[in-house]
Amino acid sequence: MIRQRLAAMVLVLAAVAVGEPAAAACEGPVRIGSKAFTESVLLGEVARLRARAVGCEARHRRELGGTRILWEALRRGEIDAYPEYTGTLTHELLDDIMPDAGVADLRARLAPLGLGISDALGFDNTYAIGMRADTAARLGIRRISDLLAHPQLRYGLSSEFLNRADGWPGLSARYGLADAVVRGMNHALAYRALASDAIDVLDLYSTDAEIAYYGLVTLEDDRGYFPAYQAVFLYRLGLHETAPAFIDALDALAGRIDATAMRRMNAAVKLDGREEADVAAEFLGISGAADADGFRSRLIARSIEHLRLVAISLGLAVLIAIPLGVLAARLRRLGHVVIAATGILQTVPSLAMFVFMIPLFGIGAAPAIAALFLYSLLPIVRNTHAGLVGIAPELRESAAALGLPPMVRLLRIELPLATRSMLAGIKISAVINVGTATLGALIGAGGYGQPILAGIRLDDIGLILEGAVPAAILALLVQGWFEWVERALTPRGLRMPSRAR
Amino acid sequence: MPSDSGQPSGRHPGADAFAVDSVTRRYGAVLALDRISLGFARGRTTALIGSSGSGKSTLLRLLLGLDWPDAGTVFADGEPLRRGNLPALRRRTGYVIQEGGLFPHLTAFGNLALLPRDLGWSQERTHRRALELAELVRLPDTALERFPAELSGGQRQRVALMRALMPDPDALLLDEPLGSLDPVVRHELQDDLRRIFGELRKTVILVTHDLAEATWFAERLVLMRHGRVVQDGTFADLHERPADAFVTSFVAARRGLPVVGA
Repeated sequence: MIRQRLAAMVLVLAAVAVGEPAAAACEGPVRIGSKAFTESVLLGEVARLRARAVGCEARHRRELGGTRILWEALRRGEIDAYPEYTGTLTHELLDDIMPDAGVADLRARLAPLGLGISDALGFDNTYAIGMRADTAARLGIRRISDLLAHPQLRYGLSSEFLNRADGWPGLSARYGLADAVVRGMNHALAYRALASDAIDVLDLYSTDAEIAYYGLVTLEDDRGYFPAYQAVFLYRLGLHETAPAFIDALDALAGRIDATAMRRMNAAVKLDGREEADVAAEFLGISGAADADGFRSRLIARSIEHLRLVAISLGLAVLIAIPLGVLAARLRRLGHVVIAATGILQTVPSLAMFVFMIPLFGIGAAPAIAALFLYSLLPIVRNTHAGLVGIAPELRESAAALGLPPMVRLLRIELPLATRSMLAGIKISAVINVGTATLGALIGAGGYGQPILAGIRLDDIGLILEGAVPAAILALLVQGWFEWVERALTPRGLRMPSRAR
Repeated sequence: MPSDSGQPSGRHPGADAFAVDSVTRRYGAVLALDRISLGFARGRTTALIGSSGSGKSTLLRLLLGLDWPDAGTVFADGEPLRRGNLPALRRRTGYVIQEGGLFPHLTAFGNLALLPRDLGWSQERTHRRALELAELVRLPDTALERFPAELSGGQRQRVALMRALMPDPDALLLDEPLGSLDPVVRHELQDDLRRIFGELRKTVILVTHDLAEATWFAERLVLMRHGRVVQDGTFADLHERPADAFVTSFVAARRGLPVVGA
C-alpha cells in the first residue's frame, strides 16, 4: 500500500514539476473543507482540482470533522465551500423546511444565510442499514422491518448516525426498534467489527466501497424512512465576487458524478489504498496536480504543526499555571477553588473539549491550542502548589524569621525549593499534550493526528503508524528533554543527599 | 501554686527587650499558653524550660510574630507587636531552631548572604562579616562553600547561628538549638555558645527541655507546664524553694547536676 502511494507521489511530483496553472482567476485562495470520511475528502479534492483547473488557488482542509463543524465553519467564513448532502440539510441543518425539498428550494432557503448550493452532482448517497449477506440469508432478513423479529442482533452504529435527527432516533421510532442493543462506533471500524462478527447490523452510506468488498446487503427501507441524500457543494455567496470562476467550475460538475463513479472512487481509496488527490484527478481526467508531498516533507510539516500546538499551549499554561499555583499555596481557600476548577477541566473528555473550543475559536490550531492549554493547567498548578506547600514548615518559618519580604522569600527560597515538583508537573503536561494534540486533527489543527485519522478512515495501519510512531517518539523526546532540564535546573544542594562529597 | 513571676498584668513593659502581657494561645482544644505575663530584660540570658508541650516554643514564636496570641499583647522594645513593625523586629533579632532551618538549595555562604543582600550590603562586606563570624563560632572557612547536606550536624548549627548573627542583632532567640546533636558535639557547642553569649552580651532567650543545659547558659530559668509559668528564678530557687511538687520532680528527674547550696 505504501509503495503504491509512493509511486503515485512520484508521478504527482513529476507532474508538479512540469508546470502549475497560474492563479489569477480568483482573489486569494479558495478554502475548501471536507468531513472526516473518504467520500467527502474525495469530493473536496475534486473541488480543489477543479479550482486549479480554472486558475484559482485552492486549499483543501481535509477531514475537519462532522457535519456540525463543517457547517459552522462555512457559516463563520473559515472555509468557503464543502461537499454536503441534501438530506442532511433538510433533516439536520435547517429548520422549517419540507423533508423532500429539492435543490431549488434549498437554494432559496440558504441565500438569506449568505450561502449558495451547487446543482446535484449526480448521485444519491443515502443512509442505509446493512448486514453480512450470509447472516441476512440465514435469518431471512431482507427489509428493515424484518429486524424486529430478531432482538438478539447487535448494532454498531456510527456516532453521527446515532445522534442525527435523520438517523437512528427517527429510524428506531419508525420501525419500533427502540429496544435494540446499540453501540456507537467509528464508521470505518464498524466494518471491521462486522467482518470479525463483533456486530451484526450497521449503518452505511449507499456509496460505500465496502458493501461489495465485505459481501454485505443493504436492507430495503420498506417504510420509506431515509430521505434522499443528493450530493451537492455548499459555498459562501461571497465567492460570486471573489472567485466566480470557481463557482462556474462547481456548477460544471452538476450531474457529472453518478453513484457508480462515486463508489469506484471510494473503492480506489479505501480498498486499493490510493491517494484521494490521485483518484480525484484521474476521475477528472487531469494527470496529477495533487498537492501531496513526499513522506519526508509531510512528516516535517506535521512535526512543525504538532510541536507548535504543544509548545504554544504548554508555554501559555506555564505562564498562567505557576502564578495560579503560587496563589493557591498562599490563599488556602482560593487554592481549593483553583485546584478544583482545573481538576474539573481535566475531567472533560478530550474530544468534547476540542469541540467545545470551536464556537470560541473557530477551527484550526487556535481551538486545539486552547483545549491543550486547559488540559495542561492542572498538573502544573497542582505540582506548583504541592511543591510550595510541601516545603518543611521550619524552612518556611526560618525564611520568615530572617525578616525577608514575602516576594524575596518566594523568589529566592520557596520557588527554588519547589523547582523539582514544578518541573515534574510541566513534564507531565508536556507528555500528555503530545498525545492529546493528535486529537487536534479532528478540528483542523493538523499534526500527527492527521495521518492517524486518515488511517482509521482508510483502515490503513501503515498510515496510522505514520502518525502514531512520530507522536510516541516525540513524547519520549519531550520526556527525556525535561529530565535533562530537571537535572540542570534543580539546585545542586537539593540533589545532594545521594552523593555526599 | 503557680507564680506568675514576671510582672503583674497591666504593667508597662518599657525596659524589657521582650515582654508578654496575659497572652493566651489555643490550638483547637489545646491551651498552649494560658494568660502568661513575662518580661525579658535587655542583655540577659533567659532559659525557658519545660517538657514538650509546655508552651515554651509557642511563647518564643509569639515574640517574633511567627504566631499570634488569641488574647493578650506581645511587646518588643516596649512597642506592642504589629504586622507593620515585624520586618524591622526580625532583622534585629536572630532566630535559630533545632535543625537549623538552613535552606538546602543554598551553600552555607548563600544562607548567610540572604539577608545582607536584601539589606543592600556589598559583597565584600558580607564576606568580611561571614569570615568574622566563622572565627567566632569556630567554623572552618572551607565549610562556607558547602551545601547544608555536606555539613555535619554541629557545623549546620554553627552556620545557623552565624546566619542569625549576620546583621549583628540585638537579641537571639534559640529554640532547642542543640536538640538534635550527639552528646559530644553538643557538649562542645554548649561551651562555644556560652562563650559567644558572654562575648556578645545580647539579649538571649533559649528554649530547652534540658535543665542542665538551661542552667549552663542562663542564670534565670522560667519553668513552664501546660501553658503556664510554674516557677521563675535561679536554679537555686527551683532546687531549694520549689513552687510545687512538679518543680521538685522536674529538678529531681535530672541526674548528675551540680550540687547547690549543700
